[in-house]
Amino acid sequence: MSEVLNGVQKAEAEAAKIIEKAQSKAEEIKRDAERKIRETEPNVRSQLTEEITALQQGIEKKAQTQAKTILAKADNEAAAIEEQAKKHIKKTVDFIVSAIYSFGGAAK
Amino acid sequence: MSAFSPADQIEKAIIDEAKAQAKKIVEDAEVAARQLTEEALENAQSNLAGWAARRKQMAQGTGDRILGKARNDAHMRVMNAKAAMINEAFQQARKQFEKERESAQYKTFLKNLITNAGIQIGGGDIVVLVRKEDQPIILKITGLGTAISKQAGQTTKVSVGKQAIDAIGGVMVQNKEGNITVDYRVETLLTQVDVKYRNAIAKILFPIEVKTEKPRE
Repeated sequence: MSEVLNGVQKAEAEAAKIIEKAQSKAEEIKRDAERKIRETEPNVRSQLTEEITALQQGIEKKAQTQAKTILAKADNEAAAIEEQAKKHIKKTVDFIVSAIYSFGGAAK
Repeated sequence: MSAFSPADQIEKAIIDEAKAQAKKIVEDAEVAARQLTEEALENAQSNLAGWAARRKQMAQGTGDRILGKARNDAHMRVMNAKAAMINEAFQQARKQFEKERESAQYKTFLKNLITNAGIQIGGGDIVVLVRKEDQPIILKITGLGTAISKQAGQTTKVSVGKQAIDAIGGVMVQNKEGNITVDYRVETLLTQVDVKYRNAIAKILFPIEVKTEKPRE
């Protein structure tokens, strides 16, 4: 009978160790989770910052490219305007001179 | 018949139960940890959503500012090119006018300017100021006083001031008291032409409209 009791006590001691180990493991899981939770917001912020920085760089690059096109087009337009004006400057000068003379039109 | 003795069976049952409990303790801990970390992630995403949206809006704003500035600069480049050509036309007109100062048309021009100015002043004793080179021309013009008197309704005497004006041409006419002056110097007239005929001049100089990048409102 004492042999049986002895065996049960040993089993119970072993069972207690198994439970204790599991509780220790559970504590470890809990600590890991708490650490992850603490790191969550900084990690999300860091990830979002990377995404937004990439987005911003993309937007700026696209805008810079479009800006260059707009300015190049404007320079072409300015050159076209200059060319056009050169062809008509004589006529314009005559107009201005005649406009000056018009101030000395016949006295009323 | 079982291979285990009743004592062995009791011991095994105790161990098996402990293992089952242990398994549940770990599983529960894992489930709780998973739930908490998922909640934390959702909370963080929710907390940072506004911040991220503002940052994205700022990024978009930067792009809009770059494009806005480019459109303004483009518009200015085209406008400056037009203004430069209009100024060039005025410079050339000024030079052309200087070449015409010996012509009969210029003499008539001076005569008419003086008459118009005299009428504006209302006649009376008037003094004409011109370039030194134009003074002999004015002295040779006859009938100025009569023409002004007729229109102004007052006897008019025209004299040439000794003081010469600094101008490319034209006249300045004053009453005797010197408190009324009509400025018909060519420089002044050019400014008036610019103001009055700017659009007409632009149409002559740039008859074909060039499409420009206009800044957005």
